[in-house]
Amino acid sequence: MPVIALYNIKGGVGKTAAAVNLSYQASKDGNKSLICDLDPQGSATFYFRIKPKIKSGSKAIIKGGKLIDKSIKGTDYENLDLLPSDFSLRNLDIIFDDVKKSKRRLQYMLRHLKKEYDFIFLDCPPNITLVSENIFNAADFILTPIIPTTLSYRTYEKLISFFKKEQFKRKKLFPFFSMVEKRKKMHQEIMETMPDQFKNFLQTRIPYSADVEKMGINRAPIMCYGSRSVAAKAYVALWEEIKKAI
Amino acid sequence: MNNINRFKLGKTKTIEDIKKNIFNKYSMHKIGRSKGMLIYYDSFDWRLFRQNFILYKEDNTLFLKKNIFTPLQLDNIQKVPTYISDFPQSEIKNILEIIVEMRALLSQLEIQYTRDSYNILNNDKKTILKIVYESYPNLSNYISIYSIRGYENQIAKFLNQVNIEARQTQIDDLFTEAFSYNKIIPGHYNHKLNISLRPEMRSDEAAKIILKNLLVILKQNEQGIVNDIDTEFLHDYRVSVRKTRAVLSQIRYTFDENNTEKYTVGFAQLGKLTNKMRDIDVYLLTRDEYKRRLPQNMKESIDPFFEYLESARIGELKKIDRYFKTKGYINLLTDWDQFLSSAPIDSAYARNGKIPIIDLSKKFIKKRHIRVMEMGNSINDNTPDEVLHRLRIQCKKLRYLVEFFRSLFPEDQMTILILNLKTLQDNLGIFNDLSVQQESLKQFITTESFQTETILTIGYLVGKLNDEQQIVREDFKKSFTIFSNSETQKIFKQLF
Repeated sequence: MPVIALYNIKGGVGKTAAAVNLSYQASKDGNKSLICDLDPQGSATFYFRIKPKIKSGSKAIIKGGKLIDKSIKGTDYENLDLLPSDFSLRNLDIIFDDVKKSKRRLQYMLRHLKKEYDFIFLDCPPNITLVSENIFNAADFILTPIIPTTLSYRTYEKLISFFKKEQFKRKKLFPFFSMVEKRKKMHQEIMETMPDQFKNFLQTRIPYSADVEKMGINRAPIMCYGSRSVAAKAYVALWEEIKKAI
Repeated sequence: MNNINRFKLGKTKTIEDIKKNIFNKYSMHKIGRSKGMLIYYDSFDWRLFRQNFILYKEDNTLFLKKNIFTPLQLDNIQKVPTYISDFPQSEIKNILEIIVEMRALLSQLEIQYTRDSYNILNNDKKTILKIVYESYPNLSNYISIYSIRGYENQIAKFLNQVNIEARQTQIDDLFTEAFSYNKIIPGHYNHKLNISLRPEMRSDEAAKIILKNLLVILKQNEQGIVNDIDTEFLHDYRVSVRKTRAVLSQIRYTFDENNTEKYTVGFAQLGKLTNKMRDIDVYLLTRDEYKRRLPQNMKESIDPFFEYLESARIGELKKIDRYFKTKGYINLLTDWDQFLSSAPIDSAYARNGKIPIIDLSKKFIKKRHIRVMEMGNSINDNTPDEVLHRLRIQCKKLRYLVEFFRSLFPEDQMTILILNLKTLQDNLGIFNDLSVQQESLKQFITTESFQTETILTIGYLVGKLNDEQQIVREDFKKSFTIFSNSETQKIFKQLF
């Protein structure tokens, strides 16, 4: 039932990898799970070897209902379905802007899917746009992968103040460290200080790893080809921590 | 995975044909293989089959299916209980209770299966279908296709590509094929006589047809008795024996005495052999009813009695099993079979042998009917129980005759006769059972050594049974009146 968004204003922080691996792990527990690829780049769709196409494109997202149902595809894994990305999603901002209740369209669309799935994961595009605001409303939890750098720190602060200003619920935000390189001094410093300064900071850290990069070659969740790798274990641990937190 | 579509490939088409035909359009990845047994269950008299139900077990799951409906399912069944009362509470149990009642569930058919699962991938190496190839020794091969959400339209494309013109099937097809391969005819057991006679037939010829029919039923039940599957096997066996004896004694002067005497003796012996076992079965089957008759503080005291019966039953069963294997028994039935297939012989003694059966049957039924009416009418409140017992035997003889010759007379009138006769017989039957039970309970107390409490409880039970017997006796008048109503009597007069 809960909707879990993977979001960061910055791109390239391990968002899609987290969305794919966490949704896989959730389905492996026996939960019926759906991953919605809202990013026009369609990386999640690609990882699951599915063709990026939604029937009737972004209109489906606006209208929801049957058009969405028809677009959902079963992945190669039991209990895990995917709503593929579509190139026309790049215009989603413009389309949302034209309709009534423009900040809650996504929430309405998901309402119907929430009945069918135990968990819905949203792989979100970066930047703060009308699409992101839809996500902030629709998601029950917003997981934010953060690379432990000063720049990321500042981006996250920016996100918090945006939430404050626009009156989104800040308690939905659950940051965690991603693409961690232990040998980097700056990473160590940030990881020491940052978690104390923000609420809901998750403890599990996802390391930077070549095994994660290989998801693009293997086109599968990391657990399916490298279940023993440190990164795979970290995603499993992260999912366990999330389950407890939510 | 979503919808299942099951297709019959036939005996010659295999998974290799499918592999050959996919070319470069798809690739097939074998996921695994499983082997196991499909076991088909029904009662010995095919009660489920007759109601269009299919009950089968696959691994540890039991399925109950009717027509095209999705089967009901019961998980974690390691061993299917023989009796429905031992089933775990479930929807399946509720249905079986109504249909199978107290009968035992038997495994009627076992089919070995091998299942190979494959993923069918497209050129992106994305799984778009899953198939399970099923093969069974000596039977057709099947494939089941599981569609994946969003890829439903791939089924038709795939079937077209691999050139399967298979028709969609249900598991029923597999069972039908397996039954026919194993020469099993579902629903075939039928303990009711199915005799068809022609009016102009010689009487000895007709009698042989009836007797042959009874012999078939008798033989059908032997194995069930020995394997101790269901008490009904012994019951039906005994009914056949009794009816055989009835033909020999009632359709008199039909065969030469010299030819049939040894069979008369032989079949009487079979009746004696099985008497005690049947008595025990009746007690054990009505165990709950007995307990219900007892007050709370006595309910447990009767247990040693039933425990005694259970152990005595083992001995009786052994006795029967041993007897069935003796030369004497085997020869009796083989000779009997030969005699029944032999050509008729005229002799002075067998003076009824060549009379057309229609005449002889009328004569015998008429005679028996008159006797039943005379006896029944003579019964009043002061008549001794003994007379009611004799009337019961007369009714039984009449009933057998009517059943044997049913095919010679109009169907609907015969049905009315049998139904009315049955009502009367039921009353007399209960009366007799209650009386026999009192006698044998008393017998048990004197011949077997039970604890005082058990003896007292049995004594109490005898008193109870006696009370009930008196009530049943009061009902006799009512059931005899139904039988002697003018319509039934008119039919008797008209037909015979």
